Amino acid sequence: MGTTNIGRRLFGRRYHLQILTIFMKKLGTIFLITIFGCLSGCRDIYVNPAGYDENLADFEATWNRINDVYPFLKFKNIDWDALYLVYQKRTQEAQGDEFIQVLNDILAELRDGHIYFEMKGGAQIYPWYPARYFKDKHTYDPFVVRKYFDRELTVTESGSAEYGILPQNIGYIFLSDFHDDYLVHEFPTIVNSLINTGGIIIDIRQRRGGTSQNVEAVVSHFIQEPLAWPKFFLLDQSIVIDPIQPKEPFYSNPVIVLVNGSTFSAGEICTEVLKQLPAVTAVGDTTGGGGVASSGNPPEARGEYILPSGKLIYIGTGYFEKYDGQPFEWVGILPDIRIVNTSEEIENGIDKQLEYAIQFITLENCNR
Amino acid sequence: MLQYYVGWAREHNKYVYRLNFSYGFSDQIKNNNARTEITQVFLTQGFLYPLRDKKLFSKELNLFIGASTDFIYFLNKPVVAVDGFDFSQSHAAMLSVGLNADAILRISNKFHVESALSTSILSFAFRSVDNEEDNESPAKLLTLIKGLNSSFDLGVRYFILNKLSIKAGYEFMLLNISAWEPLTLAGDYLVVGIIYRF
Repeated sequence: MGTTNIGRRLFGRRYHLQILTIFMKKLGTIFLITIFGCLSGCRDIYVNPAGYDENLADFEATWNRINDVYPFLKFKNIDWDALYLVYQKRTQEAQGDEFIQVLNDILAELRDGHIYFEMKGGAQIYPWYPARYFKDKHTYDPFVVRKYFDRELTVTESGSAEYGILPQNIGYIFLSDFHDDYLVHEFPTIVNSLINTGGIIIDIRQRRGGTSQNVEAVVSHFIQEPLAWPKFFLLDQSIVIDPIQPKEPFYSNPVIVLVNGSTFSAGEICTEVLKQLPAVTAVGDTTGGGGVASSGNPPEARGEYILPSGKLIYIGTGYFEKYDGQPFEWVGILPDIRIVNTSEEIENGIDKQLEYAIQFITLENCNR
Repeated sequence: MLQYYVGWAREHNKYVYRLNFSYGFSDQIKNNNARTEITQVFLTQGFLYPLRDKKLFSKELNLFIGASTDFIYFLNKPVVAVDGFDFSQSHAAMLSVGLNADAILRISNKFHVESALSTSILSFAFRSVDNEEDNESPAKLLTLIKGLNSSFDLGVRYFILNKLSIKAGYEFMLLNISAWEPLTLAGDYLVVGIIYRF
Protein backbone atom coordinates (compact mmCIF):
# COMPACT_ATOMS: atom_id res chain seq x y z
CA MET A 1 0.00 0.00 0.00
CA GLY A 2 2.25 2.83 1.24
CA THR A 3 1.60 6.50 0.74
CA THR A 4 -0.56 7.12 -2.28
CA ASN A 5 -1.56 10.04 -4.44
CA ILE A 6 -5.13 9.46 -3.36
CA GLY A 7 -4.09 9.75 0.24
CA ARG A 8 -2.18 12.99 -0.38
CA ARG A 9 -5.02 14.49 -2.42
CA LEU A 10 -7.99 13.45 -0.30
CA PHE A 11 -6.56 13.47 3.17
CA GLY A 12 -3.52 15.79 3.19
CA ARG A 13 -0.20 15.34 4.97
CA ARG A 14 -1.58 14.32 8.40
CA TYR A 15 -3.34 11.34 6.94
CA HIS A 16 -0.24 10.34 4.93
CA LEU A 17 1.57 9.79 8.21
CA GLN A 18 -1.36 7.78 9.61
CA ILE A 19 -1.42 5.52 6.54
CA LEU A 20 2.37 5.05 6.76
CA THR A 21 2.09 4.20 10.47
CA ILE A 22 -0.67 1.66 9.80
CA PHE A 23 1.44 0.14 7.02
CA MET A 24 4.51 -0.14 9.27
CA LYS A 25 2.46 -1.82 11.98
CA LYS A 26 1.00 -4.24 9.47
CA LEU A 27 4.50 -4.86 8.12
CA GLY A 28 5.56 -5.88 11.63
CA THR A 29 2.63 -8.29 11.87
CA ILE A 30 3.36 -9.71 8.42
CA PHE A 31 7.01 -10.15 9.46
CA LEU A 32 6.03 -12.05 12.63
CA ILE A 33 3.62 -14.30 10.74
CA THR A 34 6.36 -15.08 8.21
CA ILE A 35 8.88 -15.97 10.92
CA PHE A 36 6.35 -18.18 12.71
CA GLY A 37 5.53 -19.95 9.49
CA CYS A 38 9.20 -20.59 8.78
CA LEU A 39 9.82 -21.96 12.27
CA SER A 40 6.81 -24.28 12.00
CA GLY A 41 8.15 -25.62 8.78
CA CYS A 42 11.55 -26.16 10.36
CA ARG A 43 10.21 -28.42 13.14
CA ASP A 44 12.47 -31.23 11.96
CA ILE A 45 15.52 -29.16 12.97
CA TYR A 46 14.67 -29.53 16.63
CA VAL A 47 12.34 -32.58 16.73
CA ASN A 48 13.66 -35.98 15.67
CA PRO A 49 11.87 -36.93 12.48
CA ALA A 50 9.87 -40.09 11.84
CA GLY A 51 12.12 -43.04 11.08
CA TYR A 52 14.89 -41.68 13.30
CA ASP A 53 17.69 -44.29 13.29
CA GLU A 54 18.22 -44.31 17.05
CA ASN A 55 14.53 -45.04 17.70
CA LEU A 56 14.59 -47.93 15.26
CA ALA A 57 17.77 -49.30 16.85
CA ASP A 58 16.15 -49.10 20.31
CA PHE A 59 13.05 -50.88 19.05
CA GLU A 60 15.06 -53.69 17.46
CA ALA A 61 17.18 -54.13 20.60
CA THR A 62 14.07 -54.21 22.85
CA TRP A 63 12.18 -56.68 20.68
CA ASN A 64 15.20 -58.98 20.39
CA ARG A 65 16.05 -58.84 24.08
CA ILE A 66 12.54 -59.85 25.08
CA ASN A 67 12.47 -62.54 22.41
CA ASP A 68 15.78 -63.98 23.63
CA VAL A 69 15.30 -64.00 27.40
CA TYR A 70 11.75 -63.37 28.62
CA PRO A 71 10.48 -66.67 30.08
CA PHE A 72 6.70 -66.15 29.92
CA LEU A 73 5.81 -65.39 26.29
CA LYS A 74 4.22 -68.82 25.85
CA PHE A 75 2.68 -68.91 29.34
CA LYS A 76 1.03 -65.54 28.71
CA ASN A 77 0.00 -66.45 25.13
CA ILE A 78 1.79 -63.45 23.64
CA ASP A 79 2.39 -63.63 19.87
CA TRP A 80 5.66 -61.76 20.00
CA ASP A 81 6.41 -62.21 16.28
CA ALA A 82 3.11 -60.56 15.34
CA LEU A 83 3.83 -57.60 17.58
CA TYR A 84 7.11 -56.92 15.75
CA LEU A 85 5.41 -55.44 12.69
CA VAL A 86 2.92 -53.47 14.76
CA TYR A 87 5.59 -51.75 16.82
CA GLN A 88 8.09 -51.42 14.01
CA LYS A 89 5.50 -49.35 12.12
CA ARG A 90 4.74 -47.24 15.19
CA THR A 91 8.46 -46.66 15.74
CA GLN A 92 8.93 -45.55 12.12
CA GLU A 93 6.08 -43.07 12.47
CA ALA A 94 7.14 -41.72 15.86
CA GLN A 95 8.62 -38.23 15.93
CA GLY A 96 10.69 -36.86 18.77
CA ASP A 97 9.49 -38.02 22.20
CA GLU A 98 6.61 -40.02 20.71
CA PHE A 99 8.97 -43.01 20.74
CA ILE A 100 8.89 -43.04 24.55
CA GLN A 101 5.18 -43.89 24.38
CA VAL A 102 5.93 -46.62 21.83
CA LEU A 103 8.60 -48.09 24.14
CA ASN A 104 6.17 -47.90 27.06
CA ASP A 105 3.46 -49.68 25.08
CA ILE A 106 5.64 -52.49 23.75
CA LEU A 107 6.88 -53.24 27.28
CA ALA A 108 3.31 -53.09 28.60
CA GLU A 109 2.39 -55.94 26.22
CA LEU A 110 4.17 -58.33 28.61
CA ARG A 111 1.86 -57.34 31.48
CA ASP A 112 4.67 -57.86 33.95
CA GLY A 113 4.98 -55.77 37.12
CA HIS A 114 8.76 -56.26 37.20
CA ILE A 115 9.38 -54.63 33.84
CA TYR A 116 10.47 -51.02 33.73
CA PHE A 117 12.41 -48.61 31.58
CA GLU A 118 14.56 -45.70 32.50
CA MET A 119 15.63 -42.64 30.54
CA LYS A 120 19.19 -41.43 30.99
CA GLY A 121 19.27 -39.80 34.43
CA GLY A 122 15.56 -40.46 34.92
CA ALA A 123 13.42 -42.48 37.27
CA GLN A 124 12.11 -46.00 36.65
CA ILE A 125 8.84 -46.10 34.71
CA TYR A 126 6.65 -49.16 35.10
CA PRO A 127 4.33 -49.53 32.08
CA TRP A 128 2.11 -52.10 33.81
CA TYR A 129 1.24 -53.18 37.33
CA PRO A 130 -1.12 -55.95 38.50
CA ALA A 131 -4.74 -55.03 39.22
CA ARG A 132 -4.53 -56.72 42.64
CA TYR A 133 -1.87 -54.18 43.67
CA PHE A 134 -4.20 -51.27 42.95
CA LYS A 135 -7.08 -53.10 44.67
CA ASP A 136 -5.06 -53.43 47.87
CA LYS A 137 -2.99 -50.26 47.74
CA HIS A 138 -5.11 -48.67 50.46
CA THR A 139 -6.02 -51.76 52.48
CA TYR A 140 -2.97 -51.46 54.69
CA ASP A 141 -1.99 -48.41 56.69
CA PRO A 142 0.97 -48.27 59.13
CA PHE A 143 -0.88 -45.71 61.27
CA VAL A 144 -3.93 -47.97 61.63
CA VAL A 145 -1.59 -50.82 62.64
CA ARG A 146 -0.15 -48.59 65.36
CA LYS A 147 -3.58 -48.16 66.92
CA TYR A 148 -3.42 -51.81 68.03
CA PHE A 149 -0.28 -51.15 70.05
CA ASP A 150 0.16 -49.39 73.35
CA ARG A 151 3.59 -48.09 72.44
CA GLU A 152 5.67 -47.00 69.45
CA LEU A 153 7.08 -49.57 67.03
CA THR A 154 10.84 -49.78 66.62
CA VAL A 155 12.08 -48.95 63.14
CA THR A 156 15.38 -50.62 62.23
CA GLU A 157 18.37 -48.50 61.31
CA SER A 158 17.98 -49.23 57.60
CA GLY A 159 14.28 -48.36 57.73
CA SER A 160 13.53 -51.67 56.04
CA ALA A 161 11.58 -53.18 58.94
CA GLU A 162 9.65 -52.19 62.04
CA TYR A 163 8.62 -54.35 64.96
CA GLY A 164 7.00 -54.37 68.35
CA ILE A 165 4.97 -56.39 70.82
CA LEU A 166 1.19 -56.19 70.93
CA PRO A 167 -0.62 -55.95 74.30
CA GLN A 168 -1.57 -59.64 73.90
CA ASN A 169 2.19 -60.50 74.02
CA ILE A 170 2.22 -61.21 70.28
CA GLY A 171 5.22 -60.06 68.26
CA TYR A 172 4.72 -58.02 65.12
CA ILE A 173 7.22 -57.49 62.31
CA PHE A 174 6.54 -55.39 59.19
CA LEU A 175 8.98 -56.09 56.37
CA SER A 176 9.13 -53.16 53.98
CA ASP A 177 12.30 -53.97 52.11
CA PHE A 178 13.98 -57.15 50.87
CA HIS A 179 16.68 -55.19 49.04
CA ASP A 180 20.43 -55.14 49.70
CA ASP A 181 21.24 -57.27 52.74
CA TYR A 182 19.47 -55.33 55.47
CA LEU A 183 17.50 -58.26 56.81
CA VAL A 184 20.61 -60.45 56.93
CA HIS A 185 21.97 -58.09 59.59
CA GLU A 186 18.80 -56.87 61.26
CA PHE A 187 16.39 -59.81 61.36
CA PRO A 188 18.27 -61.84 64.06
CA THR A 189 18.02 -58.83 66.39
CA ILE A 190 14.30 -58.52 65.68
CA VAL A 191 13.66 -62.20 66.44
CA ASN A 192 15.73 -61.95 69.61
CA SER A 193 13.61 -59.13 70.90
CA LEU A 194 10.39 -61.08 70.21
CA ILE A 195 11.64 -64.47 71.41
CA ASN A 196 9.44 -64.55 74.52
CA THR A 197 6.18 -63.73 72.75
CA GLY A 198 3.33 -66.19 72.27
CA GLY A 199 3.41 -65.82 68.49
CA ILE A 200 4.68 -63.57 65.71
CA ILE A 201 2.80 -61.76 62.95
CA ILE A 202 5.02 -61.16 59.91
CA ASP A 203 3.38 -58.43 57.82
CA ILE A 204 4.43 -58.42 54.16
CA ARG A 205 1.62 -56.28 52.81
CA GLN A 206 2.80 -53.48 50.46
CA ARG A 207 6.04 -55.15 49.43
CA ARG A 208 7.67 -54.96 46.00
CA GLY A 209 10.61 -57.27 45.82
CA GLY A 210 14.26 -57.81 46.63
CA THR A 211 16.85 -60.54 46.93
CA SER A 212 16.66 -64.19 47.91
CA GLN A 213 19.32 -63.73 50.59
CA ASN A 214 16.91 -61.54 52.54
CA VAL A 215 14.16 -64.15 52.13
CA GLU A 216 16.58 -66.71 53.52
CA ALA A 217 17.47 -64.36 56.39
CA VAL A 218 13.79 -64.38 57.44
CA VAL A 219 12.92 -68.05 56.89
CA SER A 220 16.08 -69.41 58.55
CA HIS A 221 14.83 -68.45 62.03
CA PHE A 222 11.68 -70.56 61.75
CA ILE A 223 13.25 -73.90 60.72
CA GLN A 224 15.34 -76.47 62.55
CA GLU A 225 16.38 -78.46 59.46
CA PRO A 226 17.52 -77.35 56.00
CA LEU A 227 14.60 -76.39 53.77
CA ALA A 228 14.71 -76.66 49.97
CA TRP A 229 13.78 -73.67 47.84
CA PRO A 230 11.01 -73.97 45.27
CA LYS A 231 12.33 -74.56 41.75
CA PHE A 232 14.17 -71.69 40.10
CA PHE A 233 14.80 -71.26 36.38
CA LEU A 234 17.22 -68.89 34.69
CA LEU A 235 17.48 -68.53 30.89
CA ASP A 236 15.32 -71.68 30.61
CA GLN A 237 17.75 -73.72 32.72
CA SER A 238 16.83 -75.19 36.09
CA ILE A 239 19.19 -73.75 38.69
CA VAL A 240 19.90 -75.59 41.91
CA ILE A 241 20.03 -73.27 44.93
CA ASP A 242 21.53 -74.44 48.22
CA PRO A 243 18.78 -75.19 50.77
CA ILE A 244 17.93 -72.62 53.44
CA GLN A 245 19.88 -73.39 56.60
CA PRO A 246 18.44 -72.93 60.09
CA LYS A 247 19.90 -70.08 62.12
CA GLU A 248 19.74 -69.00 65.73
CA PRO A 249 17.63 -67.81 67.37
CA PHE A 250 14.98 -70.36 66.43
CA TYR A 251 11.38 -69.25 66.96
CA SER A 252 8.97 -72.10 67.67
CA ASN A 253 5.63 -70.46 68.47
CA PRO A 254 2.79 -69.89 65.96
CA VAL A 255 3.49 -67.50 63.08
CA ILE A 256 1.00 -65.66 60.89
CA VAL A 257 2.13 -64.14 57.58
CA LEU A 258 -0.09 -61.25 56.46
CA VAL A 259 -0.31 -60.75 52.70
CA ASN A 260 -2.43 -58.92 50.16
CA GLY A 261 -2.49 -57.99 46.48
CA SER A 262 0.40 -55.59 46.95
CA THR A 263 2.68 -58.35 48.20
CA PHE A 264 4.97 -58.92 45.26
CA SER A 265 8.08 -60.75 44.07
CA ALA A 266 10.47 -61.50 47.00
CA GLY A 267 7.56 -60.97 49.40
CA GLU A 268 5.66 -63.72 47.58
CA ILE A 269 8.62 -66.12 47.59
CA CYS A 270 9.00 -65.50 51.31
CA THR A 271 5.29 -66.26 51.80
CA GLU A 272 5.40 -69.44 49.69
CA VAL A 273 8.43 -70.77 51.59
CA LEU A 274 7.08 -69.87 55.05
CA LYS A 275 3.70 -71.46 54.22
CA GLN A 276 5.42 -74.87 54.05
CA LEU A 277 6.18 -74.75 57.76
CA PRO A 278 3.62 -76.36 60.07
CA ALA A 279 3.64 -73.46 62.54
CA VAL A 280 3.02 -70.84 59.84
CA THR A 281 -0.35 -69.74 58.43
CA ALA A 282 -0.78 -67.22 55.64
CA VAL A 283 -3.71 -64.85 56.17
CA GLY A 284 -5.04 -62.12 53.91
CA ASP A 285 -5.68 -61.93 50.20
CA THR A 286 -4.05 -63.37 47.07
CA THR A 287 -0.69 -61.78 46.34
CA GLY A 288 0.18 -59.72 43.27
CA GLY A 289 1.72 -62.44 41.07
CA GLY A 290 5.28 -61.32 40.35
CA GLY A 291 7.23 -64.51 39.69
CA VAL A 292 9.88 -63.13 37.32
CA ALA A 293 13.47 -62.94 38.52
CA SER A 294 16.98 -62.28 37.25
CA SER A 295 20.55 -62.80 38.39
CA GLY A 296 23.92 -61.17 37.97
CA ASN A 297 25.50 -64.55 37.44
CA PRO A 298 25.95 -65.32 34.56
CA PRO A 299 26.15 -61.75 33.18
CA GLU A 300 23.72 -62.49 30.35
CA ALA A 301 21.07 -63.29 32.97
CA ARG A 302 21.06 -59.72 34.24
CA GLY A 303 17.67 -58.10 34.01
CA GLU A 304 19.03 -54.61 33.24
CA TYR A 305 19.75 -54.05 29.57
CA ILE A 306 21.07 -50.87 27.93
CA LEU A 307 19.57 -49.84 24.60
CA PRO A 308 21.66 -48.16 21.85
CA SER A 309 20.33 -44.70 22.86
CA GLY A 310 21.41 -45.19 26.48
CA LYS A 311 17.93 -45.87 27.81
CA LEU A 312 17.67 -48.87 30.17
CA ILE A 313 15.07 -51.60 30.19
CA TYR A 314 14.58 -54.31 32.81
CA ILE A 315 13.46 -57.68 31.44
CA GLY A 316 13.37 -60.71 33.75
CA THR A 317 15.41 -63.68 32.62
CA GLY A 318 14.11 -66.31 35.00
CA TYR A 319 11.38 -67.24 37.45
CA PHE A 320 10.47 -69.08 40.63
CA GLU A 321 7.80 -71.73 40.73
CA LYS A 322 5.63 -72.60 43.70
CA TYR A 323 6.32 -75.88 45.47
CA ASP A 324 3.47 -77.47 43.45
CA GLY A 325 5.40 -76.85 40.23
CA GLN A 326 3.23 -73.97 38.96
CA PRO A 327 4.62 -70.49 38.32
CA PHE A 328 3.12 -67.78 40.52
CA GLU A 329 3.53 -65.10 37.84
CA TRP A 330 0.03 -63.58 37.39
CA VAL A 331 -1.49 -66.27 39.66
CA GLY A 332 0.01 -65.12 42.95
CA ILE A 333 0.20 -67.00 46.24
CA LEU A 334 -3.12 -67.91 47.83
CA PRO A 335 -3.40 -67.38 51.57
CA ASP A 336 -4.37 -70.30 53.81
CA ILE A 337 -7.15 -68.17 55.28
CA ARG A 338 -8.72 -65.44 53.16
CA ILE A 339 -9.58 -62.28 55.05
CA VAL A 340 -10.20 -59.19 52.98
CA ASN A 341 -9.59 -55.62 54.11
CA THR A 342 -11.45 -52.78 52.44
CA SER A 343 -10.13 -49.25 52.08
CA GLU A 344 -13.24 -47.93 53.89
CA GLU A 345 -12.49 -50.06 56.95
CA ILE A 346 -8.89 -48.87 56.94
CA GLU A 347 -10.07 -45.26 56.75
CA ASN A 348 -12.19 -46.00 59.82
CA GLY A 349 -9.17 -47.40 61.64
CA ILE A 350 -10.03 -51.10 61.33
CA ASP A 351 -7.50 -53.67 60.09
CA LYS A 352 -9.47 -56.93 59.91
CA GLN A 353 -6.50 -58.96 58.71
CA LEU A 354 -4.41 -57.89 61.71
CA GLU A 355 -7.33 -58.46 64.09
CA TYR A 356 -7.80 -61.98 62.73
CA ALA A 357 -4.10 -62.72 63.12
CA ILE A 358 -4.16 -61.58 66.76
CA GLN A 359 -7.28 -63.67 67.45
CA PHE A 360 -5.80 -66.73 65.71
CA ILE A 361 -2.56 -66.72 67.70
CA THR A 362 -4.42 -66.05 70.96
CA LEU A 363 -6.69 -69.08 70.36
CA GLU A 364 -3.74 -71.25 69.32
CA ASN A 365 -2.01 -70.43 72.60
CA CYS A 366 -5.18 -71.15 74.60
CA ASN A 367 -5.52 -74.57 72.93
CA ARG A 368 -1.93 -75.61 73.63
CA MET B 1 8.85 -27.80 69.13
CA LEU B 2 11.53 -25.14 69.35
CA GLN B 3 11.37 -22.50 66.65
CA TYR B 4 14.45 -20.29 66.21
CA TYR B 5 13.83 -16.80 64.96
CA VAL B 6 16.02 -13.95 63.76
CA GLY B 7 14.71 -10.65 62.47
CA TRP B 8 15.96 -7.33 61.21
CA ALA B 9 14.09 -4.07 60.74
CA ARG B 10 15.10 -0.70 59.36
CA GLU B 11 13.17 2.50 59.99
CA HIS B 12 12.93 4.91 57.11
CA ASN B 13 11.22 8.30 57.14
CA LYS B 14 7.87 7.08 56.04
CA TYR B 15 7.98 3.32 56.54
CA VAL B 16 9.66 0.42 58.29
CA TYR B 17 11.23 -2.43 56.31
CA ARG B 18 11.67 -5.76 58.00
CA LEU B 19 13.13 -9.15 57.24
CA ASN B 20 12.48 -12.22 59.42
CA PHE B 21 13.68 -15.81 59.30
CA SER B 22 12.68 -18.72 61.51
CA TYR B 23 13.48 -22.41 61.59
CA GLY B 24 11.99 -25.23 63.59
CA PHE B 25 12.62 -28.97 63.80
CA SER B 26 11.38 -31.74 66.04
CA ASP B 27 11.44 -35.52 65.86
CA GLN B 28 9.21 -35.94 68.91
CA ILE B 29 5.85 -35.03 67.46
CA LYS B 30 3.67 -37.98 68.48
CA ASN B 31 0.09 -39.14 68.21
CA ASN B 32 -1.48 -42.61 68.48
CA ASN B 33 1.91 -44.32 68.87
CA ALA B 34 3.10 -42.74 65.63
CA ARG B 35 6.03 -40.37 65.64
CA THR B 36 7.04 -37.93 62.97
CA GLU B 37 9.82 -35.47 62.19
CA ILE B 38 8.68 -31.97 61.36
CA THR B 39 10.81 -29.30 59.71
CA GLN B 40 9.45 -25.82 59.08
CA VAL B 41 11.15 -22.75 57.64
CA PHE B 42 9.66 -19.26 57.39
CA LEU B 43 11.07 -16.23 55.56
CA THR B 44 9.20 -12.93 55.60
CA GLN B 45 10.01 -9.53 54.25
CA GLY B 46 7.75 -6.53 54.15
CA PHE B 47 6.93 -2.92 54.78
CA LEU B 48 4.95 -1.19 57.48
CA TYR B 49 3.47 2.27 57.14
CA PRO B 50 2.41 4.23 60.20
CA LEU B 51 -1.19 5.28 60.64
CA ARG B 52 -2.29 8.23 62.72
CA ASP B 53 -1.40 7.73 66.39
CA LYS B 54 -4.26 7.10 68.78
CA LYS B 55 -4.83 6.82 72.49
CA LEU B 56 -5.78 3.68 74.37
CA PHE B 57 -6.26 3.73 78.13
CA SER B 58 -4.73 7.21 77.88
CA LYS B 59 -1.52 5.70 76.55
CA GLU B 60 -0.02 6.31 73.12
CA LEU B 61 -1.00 3.68 70.58
CA ASN B 62 1.01 3.39 67.36
CA LEU B 63 -0.63 1.55 64.51
CA PHE B 64 1.05 0.28 61.38
CA ILE B 65 -0.24 -1.39 58.28
CA GLY B 66 1.66 -2.86 55.40
CA ALA B 67 2.29 -5.59 52.87
CA SER B 68 4.71 -8.48 52.93
CA THR B 69 5.90 -11.47 51.00
CA ASP B 70 6.27 -14.71 52.92
CA PHE B 71 7.88 -18.01 52.08
CA ILE B 72 7.10 -21.17 54.02
CA TYR B 73 8.56 -24.64 53.64
CA PHE B 74 7.12 -27.57 55.58
CA LEU B 75 8.33 -31.19 55.69
CA ASN B 76 6.53 -34.01 57.51
CA LYS B 77 8.49 -37.28 57.72
CA PRO B 78 6.69 -40.01 59.72
CA VAL B 79 8.93 -42.57 61.38
CA VAL B 80 7.68 -45.70 59.61
CA ALA B 81 9.40 -48.46 57.65
CA VAL B 82 9.06 -47.83 53.91
CA ASP B 83 10.81 -49.32 50.94
CA GLY B 84 12.58 -47.48 48.13
CA PHE B 85 9.44 -47.24 46.00
CA ASP B 86 7.22 -45.59 48.54
CA PHE B 87 7.58 -42.35 50.43
CA SER B 88 6.15 -41.64 53.82
CA GLN B 89 7.10 -37.99 53.83
CA SER B 90 5.10 -35.11 52.49
CA HIS B 91 6.17 -31.54 51.94
CA ALA B 92 4.65 -28.23 51.03
CA ALA B 93 5.93 -24.76 50.21
CA MET B 94 4.11 -21.51 49.74
CA LEU B 95 5.15 -18.08 48.49
CA SER B 96 2.54 -15.51 49.48
CA VAL B 97 1.76 -11.84 49.32
CA GLY B 98 -0.26 -10.58 52.20
CA LEU B 99 -1.23 -7.87 54.59
CA ASN B 100 -0.01 -7.21 58.08
CA ALA B 101 -0.88 -4.87 60.87
CA ASP B 102 1.15 -3.99 63.94
CA ALA B 103 0.20 -2.16 67.10
CA ILE B 104 2.45 -0.80 69.84
CA LEU B 105 0.94 0.43 73.09
CA ARG B 106 3.51 2.52 74.94
CA ILE B 107 2.76 1.91 78.58
CA SER B 108 5.91 3.77 79.52
CA ASN B 109 9.29 4.60 78.00
CA LYS B 110 10.59 1.23 79.09
CA PHE B 111 7.52 -0.94 78.74
CA HIS B 112 5.51 -1.63 75.57
CA VAL B 113 2.73 -4.03 74.70
CA GLU B 114 3.08 -5.15 71.09
CA SER B 115 0.80 -7.07 68.81
CA ALA B 116 0.89 -8.15 65.18
CA LEU B 117 -1.54 -9.76 62.79
CA SER B 118 -0.73 -11.00 59.30
CA THR B 119 -2.53 -12.94 56.63
CA SER B 120 -1.77 -14.04 53.11
CA ILE B 121 -3.99 -12.89 50.26
CA LEU B 122 -2.58 -14.65 47.23
CA SER B 123 -0.11 -17.52 47.17
CA PHE B 124 1.86 -19.70 44.82
CA ALA B 125 1.97 -23.09 46.49
CA PHE B 126 3.75 -26.38 45.96
CA ARG B 127 2.67 -29.72 47.39
CA SER B 128 4.08 -33.23 47.08
CA VAL B 129 1.73 -35.26 44.91
CA ASP B 130 1.45 -39.05 44.56
CA ASN B 131 1.72 -39.52 40.80
CA GLU B 132 0.15 -42.96 41.09
CA GLU B 133 -2.98 -41.49 42.63
CA ASP B 134 -3.72 -38.43 40.58
CA ASN B 135 -2.60 -36.12 37.81
CA GLU B 136 -2.87 -32.91 39.82
CA SER B 137 -0.24 -30.30 39.20
CA PRO B 138 2.15 -29.97 42.15
CA ALA B 139 2.07 -26.17 41.78
CA LYS B 140 -1.00 -23.93 42.00
CA LEU B 141 -1.99 -20.33 42.47
CA LEU B 142 -4.21 -20.05 45.53
CA THR B 143 -6.40 -17.44 47.14
CA LEU B 144 -6.62 -17.33 50.92
CA ILE B 145 -9.58 -19.72 50.84
CA LYS B 146 -7.42 -22.57 49.54
CA GLY B 147 -4.06 -21.39 50.84
CA LEU B 148 -3.91 -19.47 54.09
CA ASN B 149 -0.85 -18.42 56.02
CA SER B 150 -1.70 -16.27 59.01
CA SER B 151 -0.33 -15.44 62.39
CA PHE B 152 -1.15 -13.43 65.46
CA ASP B 153 1.14 -12.46 68.28
CA LEU B 154 0.82 -10.53 71.49
CA GLY B 155 3.70 -9.72 73.79
CA VAL B 156 5.36 -7.34 76.15
CA ARG B 157 8.67 -5.64 75.53
CA TYR B 158 10.93 -4.22 78.17
CA PHE B 159 13.76 -1.82 77.40
CA ILE B 160 16.79 -2.69 79.48
CA LEU B 161 18.74 0.06 77.79
CA ASN B 162 17.81 2.55 75.11
CA LYS B 163 19.01 0.17 72.42
CA LEU B 164 18.50 -3.17 74.11
CA SER B 165 15.17 -4.72 74.95
CA ILE B 166 13.73 -8.12 75.73
CA LYS B 167 10.39 -9.47 74.62
CA ALA B 168 8.11 -12.23 75.82
CA GLY B 169 4.86 -13.12 74.24
CA TYR B 170 2.49 -15.58 72.66
CA GLU B 171 2.21 -16.37 68.96
CA PHE B 172 -0.39 -18.39 67.12
CA MET B 173 0.25 -19.40 63.53
CA LEU B 174 -1.97 -21.19 61.07
CA LEU B 175 -1.08 -22.68 57.72
CA ASN B 176 -3.86 -24.28 55.73
CA ILE B 177 -3.49 -25.60 52.21
CA SER B 178 -6.59 -27.34 50.93
CA ALA B 179 -6.05 -27.30 47.17
CA TRP B 180 -4.65 -30.83 47.36
CA GLU B 181 -4.83 -33.41 50.16
CA PRO B 182 -5.50 -31.02 53.05
CA LEU B 183 -2.59 -29.80 55.11
CA THR B 184 -3.34 -27.89 58.27
CA LEU B 185 -0.51 -26.76 60.46
CA ALA B 186 -1.36 -24.80 63.58
CA GLY B 187 0.88 -23.98 66.45
CA ASP B 188 1.02 -21.78 69.44
CA TYR B 189 4.32 -20.66 70.77
CA LEU B 190 5.77 -18.95 73.77
CA VAL B 191 8.12 -16.37 72.31
CA VAL B 192 11.17 -15.04 74.06
CA GLY B 193 13.51 -12.63 72.31
CA ILE B 194 16.26 -10.08 72.56
CA ILE B 195 16.10 -6.96 70.39
CA TYR B 196 19.06 -4.73 69.77
CA ARG B 197 18.67 -1.40 67.99
CA PHE B 198 21.63 -0.17 65.96
